[in-house]
Amino acid sequence: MSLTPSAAFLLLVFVLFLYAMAAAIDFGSGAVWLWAELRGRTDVAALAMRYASPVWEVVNVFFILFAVGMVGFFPGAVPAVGTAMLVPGALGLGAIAVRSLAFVLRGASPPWAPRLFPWLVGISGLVAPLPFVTLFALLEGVGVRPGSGGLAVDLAALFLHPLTLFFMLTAVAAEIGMGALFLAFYARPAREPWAFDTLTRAATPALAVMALSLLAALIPLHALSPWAGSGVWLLFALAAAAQVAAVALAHARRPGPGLLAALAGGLAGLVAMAWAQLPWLVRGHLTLAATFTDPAMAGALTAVLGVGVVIVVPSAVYLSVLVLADARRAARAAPGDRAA
Amino acid sequence: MDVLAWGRLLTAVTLAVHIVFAVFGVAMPLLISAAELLAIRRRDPFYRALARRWAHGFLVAFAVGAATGTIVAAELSVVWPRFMQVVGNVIALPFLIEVIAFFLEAIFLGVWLYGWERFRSPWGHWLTSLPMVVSGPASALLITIVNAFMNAPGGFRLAGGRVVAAQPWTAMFSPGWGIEVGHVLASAFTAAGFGLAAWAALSHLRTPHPYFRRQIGLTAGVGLVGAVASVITGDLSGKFLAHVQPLKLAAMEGLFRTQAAAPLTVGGYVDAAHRAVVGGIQLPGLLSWLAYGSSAHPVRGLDAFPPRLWPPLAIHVFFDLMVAFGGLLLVVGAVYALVPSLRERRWFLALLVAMGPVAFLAMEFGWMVDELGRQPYIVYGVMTVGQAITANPDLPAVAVLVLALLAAAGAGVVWGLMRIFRSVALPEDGAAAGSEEAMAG
Repeated sequence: MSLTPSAAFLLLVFVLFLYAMAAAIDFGSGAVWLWAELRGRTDVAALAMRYASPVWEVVNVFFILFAVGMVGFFPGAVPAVGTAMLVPGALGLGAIAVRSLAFVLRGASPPWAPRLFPWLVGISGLVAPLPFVTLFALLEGVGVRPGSGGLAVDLAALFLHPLTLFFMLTAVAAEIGMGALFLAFYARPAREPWAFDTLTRAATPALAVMALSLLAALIPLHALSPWAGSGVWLLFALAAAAQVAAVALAHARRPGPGLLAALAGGLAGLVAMAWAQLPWLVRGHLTLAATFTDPAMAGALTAVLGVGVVIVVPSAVYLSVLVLADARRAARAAPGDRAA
Repeated sequence: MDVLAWGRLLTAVTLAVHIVFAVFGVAMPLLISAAELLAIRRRDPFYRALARRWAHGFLVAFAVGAATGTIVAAELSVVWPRFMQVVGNVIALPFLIEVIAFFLEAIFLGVWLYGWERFRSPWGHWLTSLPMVVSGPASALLITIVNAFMNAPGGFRLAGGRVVAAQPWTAMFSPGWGIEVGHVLASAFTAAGFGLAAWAALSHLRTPHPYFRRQIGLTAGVGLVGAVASVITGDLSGKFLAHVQPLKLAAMEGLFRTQAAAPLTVGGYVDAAHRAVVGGIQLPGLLSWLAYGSSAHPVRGLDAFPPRLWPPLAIHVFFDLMVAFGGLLLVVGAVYALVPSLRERRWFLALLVAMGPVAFLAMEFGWMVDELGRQPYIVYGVMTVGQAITANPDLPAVAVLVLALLAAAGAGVVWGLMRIFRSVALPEDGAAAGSEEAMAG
C-alpha cells in the first residue's frame, strides 16, 4: 500500500498547516513579548516566555518534516521549486536564524541596548513568514517561467502579486491574533486576569484583519485557480465561517474555542487551496504525477510515516497531559487564585 | 568565485556550525540519564542538580540544532536541487526516520522535564530518560547513513540521468554504513564529553566545588570512552576506504605512487607540483599494514586515478590534525582516569579546558576529510558537485547574506555564552549538599 500523488500532496499540506500554526503561535508570542516589554507589562511578558518556549523548541521540526516530505514524495519538483525558492527561502530562514539566536540570548540583552533581544525576537518573528508565503503564489504559477535547470522566477512579480500581499497581511495578523489567544488561554487558569483581558482584547482586531484579508485573497486566488464550479467552494465557505467564529469567540473572551476555530479555519483554507490546485504542483508547469517519487520509495515512505504516527502521536498526547496537569497544579498552588 | 564555489562555501559553513550544536543533541541525553542514575544510586543531590541543569542546556542546544538544521534542510534543496532529486527517489527514508526520532527526542525531553513530580519511585522518572538516550544518537545515525550512501551509493540504477528501480532499504544500508556511523557517534560523544568537561574545568578553576568535580568526572569519562571508540572505528574506516574509496585514502595519506609496503606519512604538507609530501616523517610499510593487515601489501596511490578526479590534496593536513588531536584527547583522558592526584592541579584543569576546542576541532577536521575527500563528487561515482548545483544566478548574493548572518550569529553565541558564564551561580541544592558533605567530611 502506498500513497497516491494527490494523497501525498494533501498530507504535506497538513504538515504545512501544523508548521504554519505552530509558527504563528511561536512568532506571535514573541511579538506579544516585545509589546509587553515595551509597556512594562511583566505579567504578559512572563506568560509569553513560559508558554512560548515549548512551542519554540519543536516548531522547526515541523518545517524539516515538510521539507523532507516534499523531497521524498515529489523529488522531481525539487530542481524547479528549489531553484525558484532560493531567494525567498534565504530571506525567511535568515529571519528565523536571527530569531532563534535572539531567543536563546533573550535574557542577556547588553547594557547599552537593554531591549535589543526583545526587539530582535519580536520583529524577526513578524517578518519571517513574509517571504515564505510567496510559496503559495509560486505553486499557483505566479511569476514562474521555464528556465535553465528548473523554473526561473520573477521575484518582483511574485512578491508584489495581490495574492502574496494578502497572504502576507494574513500571516502577520494570524501571528498576533493566534499568539495572543494562545497566551490568553494559559492566562486564565494561571490567575492573571489583567493579562487575560489585555490579550483577548488584542486578539480580536488581529483575527478580524486575518479573516478579512483571507476573504480578500480569494479574489486573486479565483482568478488564478477557477474553483467556483467545483465543490471546493464549500471548503472555502467553511474556512470563512470558522474565521468569523474565531473573531466572535475572541470578542466573547473564549480563547480556547477561539483558537480552535482559527485553527479549523486555517486547515479548511489550506486544504481547499490544495484541492483546487489538483492535479498541479506548480500550476501550468509541473503536475504532481510527473514529479512523484519512485514507487518503491512511495511505499517505504508511507510505511515509515504510518509507524511514526503510531509512535509519536501517543507520546505527544502523554506530554500534553503532563503539561496541562502542570499548568493546573501551578494554578492551584498560586496564592490568591480565583475559582474560574 | 563562481556559483559552485559559493554554494560549497555556504553549505560548508552552515554544516560546520550545525554539527557543533548537533553533537550536544546526540550526547547530552546519555549524560543527563547517567547523572540521574548516579543521583539515585549514590543518593547524591549534586548529580540530581547536574541532570536538571544539563537538561536546560540541552534544551537550548536542541532548539538551536533544530534551527540550524532547518537552514541545512532548506539549503540542501535550494542550493543542490539535482542532488536532492536523487535523494528523494533513493535515500529519503533516513531523513524521514530522523525527523521522527527528532520528535521523540523533543517529546521525551518534555516528559522528563515535566515528570519530576509524577513518579513515586525515582526509577520511574529515570526510565523516561531512556527514549531520549536512544533517539538522540538515532538522529546522528540516520543522517550519517545518508552520508555513507553519498560515499558508497547503491540501491538504484540510472537510465538517461533518471533514477530507476530504486530500492530504498538497500540504499540505506550501503556498504560501510555501520563503520561510518560508529565513527561519527564515537566522535560526537568525544566532542560533547570533552566540550562539557572543559566548561566544568573552567568553572572549577574559578570556584572549586564538588559539584564541578563530579561534572568533570562524568564528562571526561564519556569523552575518554568516545576517544577510544574513535580510534577503533577510525582504524576500521581506513581499512574500509582502502577497499571502497582508495582515492580518498591515497589523498589523506599523500600517497602519490602505487606501491607495495606503502609508508605512512605523518605530518608535512602536500606539494602537488612535485608530487611529494614535504616535511613529513615516513614510516615504511605502516600504511600497508594498517589498510590490509600486511606490511608488504600494495596500496593504490593517486597515480592510479586521473588527476581530474583527485580531491583537494590539503586533506592530508586535515587528516593528520584530526589524528593528532584525537590522540591528544585520548592521552589527556587516560591521564585523568588513571592519575587521580592530578585532578585538582590547576595546570591539569587548564589542560582540560584546552581539550574542549581541541575535541571540536578534531571532529570538524574529520568531517572535512570525509567531505573534501569525496570531491569532485557529491554522490561518489554518480554525480559531481558541478552537476548538483542550482542554476539560480542569485546564489552568490544569497550566500553572502546567509554567511554574514551566520558570522553575526556565531559572534552573538560566543558573546552570550560568556555573559551567561560570568553570571552563572551554583545550584542551590548542590551548594546545600556541599556544606553537608563538608560537615560529614
